[in-house]
Amino acid sequence: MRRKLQECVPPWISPFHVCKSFAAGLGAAAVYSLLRFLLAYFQVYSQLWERDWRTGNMVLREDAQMTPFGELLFPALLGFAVAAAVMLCLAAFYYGSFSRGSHSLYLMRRLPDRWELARRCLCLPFAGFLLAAAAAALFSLAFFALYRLVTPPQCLPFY
Amino acid sequence: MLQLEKLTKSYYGKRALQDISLSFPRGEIVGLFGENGAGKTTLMKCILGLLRFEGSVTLDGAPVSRKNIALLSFGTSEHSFFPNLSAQAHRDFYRAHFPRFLDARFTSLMDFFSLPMHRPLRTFSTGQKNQFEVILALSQGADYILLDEPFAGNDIFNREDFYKVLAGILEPRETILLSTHLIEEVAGFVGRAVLLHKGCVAGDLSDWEDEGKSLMDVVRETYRYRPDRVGKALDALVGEESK
Repeated sequence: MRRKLQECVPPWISPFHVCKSFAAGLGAAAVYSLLRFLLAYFQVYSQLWERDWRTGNMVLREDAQMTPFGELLFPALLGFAVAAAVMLCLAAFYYGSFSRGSHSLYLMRRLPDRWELARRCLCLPFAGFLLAAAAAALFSLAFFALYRLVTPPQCLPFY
Repeated sequence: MLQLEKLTKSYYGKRALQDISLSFPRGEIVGLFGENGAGKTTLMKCILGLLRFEGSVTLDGAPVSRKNIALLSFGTSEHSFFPNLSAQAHRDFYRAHFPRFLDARFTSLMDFFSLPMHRPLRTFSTGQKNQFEVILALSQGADYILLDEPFAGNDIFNREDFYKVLAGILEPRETILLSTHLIEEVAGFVGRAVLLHKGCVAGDLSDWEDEGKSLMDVVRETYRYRPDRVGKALDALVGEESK
Protein backbone atom coordinates (compact mmCIF):
# COMPACT_ATOMS: atom_id res chain seq x y z
CA MET A 1 0.00 0.00 0.00
CA ARG A 2 2.76 2.41 1.05
CA ARG A 3 4.77 1.54 -2.09
CA LYS A 4 1.73 1.86 -4.34
CA LEU A 5 0.96 5.28 -2.91
CA GLN A 6 4.58 6.38 -3.30
CA GLU A 7 4.34 5.52 -7.01
CA CYS A 8 1.50 8.04 -7.36
CA VAL A 9 3.55 11.14 -6.55
CA PRO A 10 6.92 12.50 -7.68
CA PRO A 11 9.60 10.30 -6.06
CA TRP A 12 10.77 12.90 -3.52
CA ILE A 13 7.29 13.74 -2.21
CA SER A 14 5.70 11.92 0.71
CA PRO A 15 2.22 10.74 -0.32
CA PHE A 16 1.19 10.64 3.35
CA HIS A 17 2.03 14.31 3.76
CA VAL A 18 -0.06 15.09 0.67
CA CYS A 19 -2.94 12.93 1.92
CA LYS A 20 -2.84 14.56 5.36
CA SER A 21 -2.85 18.04 3.85
CA PHE A 22 -5.69 17.10 1.53
CA ALA A 23 -7.70 15.56 4.37
CA ALA A 24 -7.22 18.77 6.38
CA GLY A 25 -8.30 20.84 3.37
CA LEU A 26 -11.32 18.64 2.75
CA GLY A 27 -12.25 18.82 6.43
CA ALA A 28 -12.04 22.60 6.36
CA ALA A 29 -14.15 22.64 3.20
CA ALA A 30 -16.75 20.41 4.91
CA VAL A 31 -16.93 22.63 8.01
CA TYR A 32 -17.17 25.76 5.85
CA SER A 33 -19.87 24.15 3.73
CA LEU A 34 -21.88 23.03 6.73
CA LEU A 35 -21.69 26.39 8.52
CA ARG A 36 -22.37 28.40 5.38
CA PHE A 37 -25.40 26.35 4.39
CA LEU A 38 -26.92 26.09 7.88
CA LEU A 39 -26.47 29.81 8.58
CA ALA A 40 -27.95 30.78 5.21
CA TYR A 41 -30.75 28.26 5.50
CA PHE A 42 -31.89 29.19 9.00
CA GLN A 43 -31.63 32.89 8.24
CA VAL A 44 -34.03 32.43 5.31
CA TYR A 45 -36.12 29.95 7.30
CA SER A 46 -36.64 32.45 10.13
CA GLN A 47 -37.96 34.97 7.61
CA LEU A 48 -40.80 32.58 6.74
CA TRP A 49 -42.31 33.18 10.15
CA GLU A 50 -43.83 36.12 11.95
CA ARG A 51 -45.08 36.62 15.48
CA ASP A 52 -48.81 36.65 16.04
CA TRP A 53 -49.12 39.52 18.55
CA ARG A 54 -52.48 38.28 19.81
CA THR A 55 -51.28 34.80 20.81
CA GLY A 56 -47.55 35.47 20.98
CA ASN A 57 -46.82 32.40 18.81
CA MET A 58 -44.74 32.28 15.65
CA VAL A 59 -46.94 31.64 12.60
CA LEU A 60 -46.14 31.13 8.95
CA ARG A 61 -46.41 34.32 6.92
CA GLU A 62 -49.11 34.22 4.26
CA ASP A 63 -46.76 35.04 1.39
CA ALA A 64 -43.91 32.94 2.79
CA GLN A 65 -41.74 31.40 0.04
CA MET A 66 -38.47 29.60 0.61
CA THR A 67 -35.38 30.67 -1.32
CA PRO A 68 -34.64 28.13 -4.09
CA PHE A 69 -32.31 25.33 -2.94
CA GLY A 70 -29.67 26.13 -5.54
CA GLU A 71 -29.21 29.67 -4.25
CA LEU A 72 -28.48 28.32 -0.79
CA LEU A 73 -26.37 25.40 -1.95
CA PHE A 74 -23.89 26.81 -4.43
CA PRO A 75 -22.12 29.30 -2.13
CA ALA A 76 -21.84 26.51 0.45
CA LEU A 77 -19.93 24.32 -2.02
CA LEU A 78 -17.23 26.93 -2.53
CA GLY A 79 -14.84 25.09 -0.18
CA PHE A 80 -15.11 21.88 -2.18
CA ALA A 81 -14.68 23.79 -5.44
CA VAL A 82 -11.49 25.32 -4.05
CA ALA A 83 -10.26 21.88 -2.90
CA ALA A 84 -10.94 20.45 -6.39
CA ALA A 85 -9.22 23.40 -8.07
CA VAL A 86 -6.19 23.01 -5.79
CA MET A 87 -6.00 19.36 -6.85
CA LEU A 88 -5.92 20.37 -10.51
CA CYS A 89 -3.20 22.94 -9.76
CA LEU A 90 -1.30 20.24 -7.86
CA ALA A 91 -1.10 18.14 -11.03
CA ALA A 92 0.44 21.11 -12.89
CA PHE A 93 2.78 21.74 -9.93
CA TYR A 94 3.94 18.12 -9.94
CA TYR A 95 4.61 18.22 -13.67
CA GLY A 96 6.54 21.48 -13.32
CA SER A 97 8.54 20.10 -10.39
CA PHE A 98 10.29 17.70 -12.78
CA SER A 99 11.93 20.74 -14.36
CA ARG A 100 12.86 22.55 -11.15
CA GLY A 101 16.44 22.25 -9.92
CA SER A 102 17.26 19.84 -12.75
CA HIS A 103 15.67 18.39 -15.88
CA SER A 104 14.47 15.12 -14.39
CA LEU A 105 11.67 15.39 -16.94
CA TYR A 106 14.21 13.99 -19.44
CA LEU A 107 14.55 10.88 -17.31
CA MET A 108 10.81 10.54 -16.77
CA ARG A 109 10.15 10.84 -20.51
CA ARG A 110 12.58 8.10 -21.42
CA LEU A 111 11.44 5.49 -18.92
CA PRO A 112 10.26 2.19 -20.41
CA ASP A 113 6.93 2.60 -18.60
CA ARG A 114 5.13 5.24 -20.68
CA TRP A 115 2.58 5.96 -17.93
CA GLU A 116 5.08 6.61 -15.15
CA LEU A 117 5.14 10.39 -15.58
CA ALA A 118 1.37 10.67 -15.99
CA ARG A 119 0.77 8.43 -12.97
CA ARG A 120 3.10 10.46 -10.75
CA CYS A 121 1.56 13.77 -11.85
CA LEU A 122 -2.13 12.90 -12.12
CA CYS A 123 -3.02 9.99 -9.85
CA LEU A 124 -3.24 11.65 -6.46
CA PRO A 125 -4.57 15.01 -7.74
CA PHE A 126 -7.24 13.21 -9.76
CA ALA A 127 -8.19 11.04 -6.77
CA GLY A 128 -8.36 14.22 -4.67
CA PHE A 129 -10.51 15.91 -7.29
CA LEU A 130 -12.90 12.96 -7.30
CA LEU A 131 -13.04 12.87 -3.50
CA ALA A 132 -13.80 16.59 -3.36
CA ALA A 133 -16.53 16.11 -5.97
CA ALA A 134 -17.94 13.11 -4.10
CA ALA A 135 -17.92 15.00 -0.80
CA ALA A 136 -19.68 17.93 -2.47
CA ALA A 137 -22.32 15.54 -3.86
CA LEU A 138 -22.81 13.91 -0.44
CA PHE A 139 -23.16 17.24 1.31
CA SER A 140 -25.56 18.43 -1.40
CA LEU A 141 -27.75 15.38 -0.79
CA ALA A 142 -27.70 15.90 2.98
CA PHE A 143 -28.53 19.61 2.56
CA PHE A 144 -31.34 18.77 0.16
CA ALA A 145 -32.80 16.30 2.64
CA LEU A 146 -32.66 18.98 5.35
CA TYR A 147 -34.22 21.53 3.00
CA ARG A 148 -37.08 19.21 2.10
CA LEU A 149 -37.74 17.88 5.60
CA VAL A 150 -37.49 21.09 7.63
CA THR A 151 -39.04 23.61 5.26
CA PRO A 152 -42.87 23.76 5.53
CA PRO A 153 -44.13 22.10 2.32
CA GLN A 154 -46.31 25.03 1.26
CA CYS A 155 -43.25 27.30 1.29
CA LEU A 156 -41.16 25.14 -1.06
CA PRO A 157 -40.71 26.85 -4.45
CA PHE A 158 -41.67 23.66 -6.28
CA TYR A 159 -44.62 22.79 -4.00
CA MET B 1 23.54 -0.39 -34.29
CA LEU B 2 22.09 3.06 -33.70
CA GLN B 3 21.12 4.46 -37.06
CA LEU B 4 20.02 7.99 -37.96
CA GLU B 5 18.49 8.55 -41.39
CA LYS B 6 17.95 12.04 -42.78
CA LEU B 7 17.26 13.43 -39.34
CA THR B 8 16.01 17.00 -39.64
CA LYS B 9 14.85 19.28 -36.87
CA SER B 10 13.51 22.83 -37.09
CA TYR B 11 12.68 25.31 -34.36
CA TYR B 12 10.00 27.73 -35.53
CA GLY B 13 11.08 27.43 -39.16
CA LYS B 14 14.80 27.66 -38.37
CA ARG B 15 16.75 24.51 -39.20
CA ALA B 16 18.67 23.16 -36.20
CA LEU B 17 19.61 19.87 -37.85
CA GLN B 18 19.59 19.09 -41.54
CA ASP B 19 19.57 15.63 -43.10
CA ILE B 20 21.80 13.98 -40.51
CA SER B 21 22.55 10.39 -41.51
CA LEU B 22 24.90 8.53 -39.22
CA SER B 23 25.31 5.05 -37.82
CA PHE B 24 26.93 4.03 -34.57
CA PRO B 25 27.85 0.35 -34.25
CA ARG B 26 28.23 -1.23 -30.83
CA GLY B 27 31.51 -0.81 -29.03
CA GLU B 28 32.47 2.60 -30.38
CA ILE B 29 33.45 5.67 -28.42
CA VAL B 30 32.38 8.60 -30.57
CA GLY B 31 33.13 12.25 -29.95
CA LEU B 32 30.47 14.70 -31.10
CA PHE B 33 32.03 18.08 -31.68
CA GLY B 34 30.86 21.43 -32.93
CA GLU B 35 30.61 25.08 -32.03
CA ASN B 36 27.86 26.34 -29.72
CA GLY B 37 24.56 26.01 -31.56
CA ALA B 38 25.90 23.40 -33.99
CA GLY B 39 23.15 21.01 -32.97
CA LYS B 40 24.92 18.54 -30.66
CA THR B 41 22.37 18.68 -27.84
CA THR B 42 19.46 18.81 -30.28
CA LEU B 43 20.78 15.70 -32.02
CA MET B 44 20.95 13.79 -28.73
CA LYS B 45 17.48 14.89 -27.69
CA CYS B 46 16.10 13.77 -31.05
CA ILE B 47 17.74 10.35 -30.66
CA LEU B 48 16.12 10.01 -27.23
CA GLY B 49 12.73 11.09 -28.54
CA LEU B 50 12.66 14.16 -26.31
CA LEU B 51 12.13 16.33 -29.40
CA ARG B 52 10.02 15.76 -32.48
CA PHE B 53 11.91 15.53 -35.73
CA GLU B 54 11.69 14.44 -39.35
CA GLY B 55 13.61 11.37 -40.51
CA SER B 56 14.20 8.20 -38.57
CA VAL B 57 16.20 6.87 -35.64
CA THR B 58 16.46 3.09 -35.28
CA LEU B 59 18.02 0.87 -32.67
CA ASP B 60 19.15 -2.47 -34.06
CA GLY B 61 16.69 -1.96 -36.91
CA ALA B 62 13.66 -1.01 -34.80
CA PRO B 63 12.38 2.52 -34.26
CA VAL B 64 13.06 3.91 -30.79
CA SER B 65 10.02 3.14 -28.66
CA ARG B 66 9.19 2.28 -25.06
CA LYS B 67 10.16 -1.31 -25.82
CA ASN B 68 13.78 -0.53 -26.58
CA ILE B 69 14.34 2.91 -25.05
CA ALA B 70 16.17 1.35 -22.09
CA LEU B 71 18.97 0.60 -24.54
CA LEU B 72 19.66 4.35 -24.52
CA SER B 73 20.91 6.28 -21.53
CA PHE B 74 21.55 9.98 -21.21
CA GLY B 75 23.85 12.06 -19.05
CA THR B 76 23.60 15.81 -19.48
CA SER B 77 25.19 18.89 -17.97
CA GLU B 78 21.62 20.12 -17.46
CA HIS B 79 21.26 17.13 -15.08
CA SER B 80 18.38 14.71 -15.25
CA PHE B 81 18.43 13.36 -11.70
CA PHE B 82 16.02 14.27 -8.90
CA PRO B 83 17.74 16.96 -6.80
CA ASN B 84 15.80 16.10 -3.65
CA LEU B 85 16.60 12.39 -3.68
CA SER B 86 19.75 10.72 -2.40
CA ALA B 87 22.05 8.56 -4.49
CA GLN B 88 20.64 5.49 -2.75
CA ALA B 89 17.07 6.48 -3.68
CA HIS B 90 18.20 7.00 -7.28
CA ARG B 91 19.66 3.53 -7.30
CA ASP B 92 16.33 2.11 -6.12
CA PHE B 93 14.44 4.12 -8.74
CA TYR B 94 16.73 2.99 -11.55
CA ARG B 95 16.62 -0.61 -10.35
CA ALA B 96 12.83 -0.52 -10.48
CA HIS B 97 12.69 0.92 -14.00
CA PHE B 98 15.74 -0.47 -15.77
CA PRO B 99 16.01 -4.26 -15.39
CA ARG B 100 19.61 -4.24 -16.63
CA PHE B 101 20.76 -1.70 -14.03
CA LEU B 102 24.42 -2.38 -13.18
CA ASP B 103 24.50 -2.36 -9.40
CA ALA B 104 28.16 -3.29 -9.07
CA ARG B 105 29.23 -0.59 -11.51
CA PHE B 106 27.12 2.00 -9.70
CA THR B 107 28.63 1.10 -6.33
CA SER B 108 32.20 1.02 -7.54
CA LEU B 109 31.89 4.36 -9.37
CA MET B 110 30.28 5.94 -6.29
CA ASP B 111 33.22 4.65 -4.25
CA PHE B 112 35.74 5.79 -6.83
CA PHE B 113 34.45 9.37 -6.74
CA SER B 114 33.76 9.23 -3.00
CA LEU B 115 30.20 10.43 -3.46
CA PRO B 116 27.88 10.20 -0.45
CA MET B 117 25.02 7.74 -0.75
CA HIS B 118 22.54 9.27 1.67
CA ARG B 119 22.65 13.02 1.04
CA PRO B 120 20.17 14.69 -1.34
CA LEU B 121 21.74 15.50 -4.68
CA ARG B 122 20.98 19.21 -4.26
CA THR B 123 23.66 19.38 -1.57
CA PHE B 124 26.35 18.08 -3.96
CA SER B 125 28.88 20.41 -5.59
CA THR B 126 28.53 21.02 -9.34
CA GLY B 127 31.40 18.64 -10.01
CA GLN B 128 29.82 15.94 -7.87
CA LYS B 129 26.48 16.43 -9.60
CA ASN B 130 28.16 15.95 -12.98
CA GLN B 131 29.90 12.83 -11.74
CA PHE B 132 26.66 11.41 -10.42
CA GLU B 133 24.85 12.20 -13.67
CA VAL B 134 27.47 10.26 -15.62
CA ILE B 135 27.44 7.40 -13.08
CA LEU B 136 23.69 7.00 -13.60
CA ALA B 137 24.08 7.04 -17.40
CA LEU B 138 26.82 4.41 -17.20
CA SER B 139 25.00 2.21 -14.71
CA GLN B 140 21.59 2.09 -16.39
CA GLY B 141 22.64 -0.96 -18.38
CA ALA B 142 22.17 0.77 -21.73
CA ASP B 143 24.03 -0.19 -24.88
CA TYR B 144 24.13 3.36 -26.21
CA ILE B 145 25.26 5.95 -23.69
CA LEU B 146 24.72 9.56 -24.72
CA LEU B 147 26.75 12.08 -22.73
CA ASP B 148 26.15 15.77 -23.39
CA GLU B 149 28.89 18.02 -22.02
CA PRO B 150 29.10 15.77 -18.97
CA PHE B 151 32.18 17.34 -17.45
CA ALA B 152 31.23 21.03 -17.55
CA GLY B 153 32.34 22.31 -14.14
CA ASN B 154 34.73 19.48 -13.30
CA ASP B 155 38.44 20.10 -12.81
CA ILE B 156 41.02 18.61 -15.16
CA PHE B 157 42.15 15.87 -12.74
CA ASN B 158 38.62 14.77 -12.25
CA ARG B 159 37.97 14.64 -15.97
CA GLU B 160 41.14 12.68 -16.70
CA ASP B 161 40.25 10.18 -14.00
CA PHE B 162 36.88 9.79 -15.57
CA TYR B 163 38.24 9.07 -19.05
CA LYS B 164 40.50 6.39 -17.59
CA VAL B 165 37.69 4.81 -15.63
CA LEU B 166 35.37 4.95 -18.62
CA ALA B 167 37.90 3.32 -20.89
CA GLY B 168 38.44 0.61 -18.28
CA ILE B 169 34.86 -0.32 -17.47
CA LEU B 170 33.14 -0.27 -20.85
CA GLU B 171 31.97 -3.56 -22.23
CA PRO B 172 32.26 -4.41 -25.94
CA ARG B 173 28.51 -3.95 -26.48
CA GLU B 174 28.51 -0.43 -25.09
CA THR B 175 28.73 2.61 -27.35
CA ILE B 176 29.42 6.07 -26.04
CA LEU B 177 28.39 9.22 -27.87
CA LEU B 178 30.20 12.03 -26.09
CA SER B 179 29.45 15.65 -26.87
CA THR B 180 32.09 18.05 -25.61
CA HIS B 181 34.15 21.12 -26.43
CA LEU B 182 37.22 19.57 -24.80
CA ILE B 183 38.56 18.10 -28.05
CA GLU B 184 42.21 17.84 -27.07
CA GLU B 185 41.33 16.21 -23.79
CA VAL B 186 39.22 13.42 -25.27
CA ALA B 187 41.43 12.93 -28.33
CA GLY B 188 43.07 9.83 -26.88
CA PHE B 189 39.79 8.48 -25.62
CA VAL B 190 37.49 8.63 -28.65
CA GLY B 191 37.95 6.40 -31.68
CA ARG B 192 35.75 8.40 -33.99
CA ALA B 193 34.84 12.06 -34.28
CA VAL B 194 31.63 13.42 -35.73
CA LEU B 195 31.84 17.12 -36.43
CA LEU B 196 28.69 19.19 -36.65
CA HIS B 197 28.54 22.63 -38.17
CA LYS B 198 25.34 24.68 -38.35
CA GLY B 199 23.18 21.58 -38.06
CA CYS B 200 24.98 19.52 -40.71
CA VAL B 201 27.63 16.83 -40.50
CA ALA B 202 30.86 18.62 -41.39
CA GLY B 203 33.03 15.55 -40.90
CA ASP B 204 32.96 11.94 -39.73
CA LEU B 205 36.51 10.94 -38.96
CA SER B 206 38.11 7.83 -37.55
CA ASP B 207 41.63 7.36 -38.85
CA TRP B 208 43.35 10.65 -38.17
CA GLU B 209 46.22 8.96 -36.31
CA ASP B 210 47.04 6.86 -39.38
CA GLU B 211 47.52 10.10 -41.28
CA GLY B 212 49.89 11.32 -38.58
CA LYS B 213 47.59 14.13 -37.51
CA SER B 214 46.13 15.06 -34.19
CA LEU B 215 42.37 15.24 -33.71
CA MET B 216 42.69 18.96 -33.11
CA ASP B 217 44.45 19.43 -36.47
CA VAL B 218 41.73 17.49 -38.26
CA VAL B 219 39.02 19.50 -36.53
CA ARG B 220 40.75 22.77 -37.46
CA GLU B 221 41.04 21.64 -41.06
CA THR B 222 37.41 20.60 -41.21
CA TYR B 223 36.20 23.90 -39.81
CA ARG B 224 38.72 25.81 -41.95
CA TYR B 225 40.04 27.49 -38.83
CA ARG B 226 42.20 30.54 -39.67
CA PRO B 227 44.92 30.84 -37.01
CA ASP B 228 45.85 34.33 -38.23
CA ARG B 229 42.38 35.76 -37.53
CA VAL B 230 43.20 36.61 -33.89
CA GLY B 231 46.33 38.52 -34.93
CA LYS B 232 44.42 40.37 -37.65
CA ALA B 233 41.61 41.27 -35.28
CA LEU B 234 44.08 42.53 -32.66
CA ASP B 235 46.03 44.51 -35.26
CA ALA B 236 42.82 46.12 -36.47
CA LEU B 237 41.72 46.96 -32.94
CA VAL B 238 45.12 48.33 -31.83
CA GLY B 239 45.48 50.28 -35.08
CA GLU B 240 42.07 51.85 -34.63
CA GLU B 241 42.82 52.89 -31.06
CA SER B 242 46.21 54.46 -31.93
CA LYS B 243 44.52 56.59 -34.61
